[in-house]
Amino acid sequence: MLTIGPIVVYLLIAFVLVTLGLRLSGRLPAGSFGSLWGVTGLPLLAVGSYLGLAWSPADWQMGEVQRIMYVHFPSWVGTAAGFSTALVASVLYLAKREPRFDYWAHAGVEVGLVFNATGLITGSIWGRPTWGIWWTWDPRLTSTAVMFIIFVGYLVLRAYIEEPDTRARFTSAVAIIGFLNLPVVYFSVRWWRTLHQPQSTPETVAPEMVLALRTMMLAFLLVCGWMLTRRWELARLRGEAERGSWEMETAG
Amino acid sequence: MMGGTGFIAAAYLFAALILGGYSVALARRLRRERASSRMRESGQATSGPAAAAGRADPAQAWMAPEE
Repeated sequence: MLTIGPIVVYLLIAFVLVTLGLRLSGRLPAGSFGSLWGVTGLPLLAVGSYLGLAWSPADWQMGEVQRIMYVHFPSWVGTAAGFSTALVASVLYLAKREPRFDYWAHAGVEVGLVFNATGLITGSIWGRPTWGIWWTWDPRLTSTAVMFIIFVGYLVLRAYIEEPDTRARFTSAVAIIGFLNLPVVYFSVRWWRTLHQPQSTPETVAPEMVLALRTMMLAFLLVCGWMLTRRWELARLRGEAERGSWEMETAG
Repeated sequence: MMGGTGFIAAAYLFAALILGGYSVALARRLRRERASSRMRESGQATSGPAAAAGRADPAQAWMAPEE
């Protein structure tokens, strides 16, 4: 497994990069891109869960409970992918004022929030047996909770502004400001004294753990991509209908 | 230090519930929205008083899946 596993992981990374490149260049439709990532991501999720739960060794210090890492950390990969999509789409919307970018931003925030919630809950469950508490106002945990609240605010703001262009403009600004918190979350364990451990490197953990974690990270990224394309299509269908009815109302 | 099987099971269960639940809800919302979109398109494709009488209000059709 340790011989062929890393090769498969690199092949999957190449698959991710190639399909993403094809999608961004417009050669691969969003629907096909999402389906490809979904079809690859779901079985990979099963393989990664097996590797994390049964195949990789237990941590020398935390014991078996460390296996929560294989679902906790990949959640942040999905969170970062969702919110990064929202950031890029929001900047593009403000620059070009094309509704499709607003649809991508909306999709990115909603999907990012789903993964953010997963990360917060699995982290809290992991915290109880290792730290003895479900939650503490530690810089990493607090900055993550703030990020979650900011993007919930983004969705609330969307619900309160009726005019589509004004809504897209205002929420784009919120998404860009909200994203500024992401580096704070990442570096919080280095900038301040925290209960949360700093990032591990592949050199400091067993190779089995690296393979299991990378498999789950890829699986979560692929599932996140599938969700993003589906949520974007939903936003587009609703947006087009809404813009049509809004134009009819303002014209009438 | 400790077994923690219950915590591991809880973490994986919550992750599956959140991600799986969202995926299912998203698929259902998308299916309904596609159906609404098809209805709107078929309404707009026809013309004349009879078609106009049966045509769905775009605002209503857009809001329907949410209810």
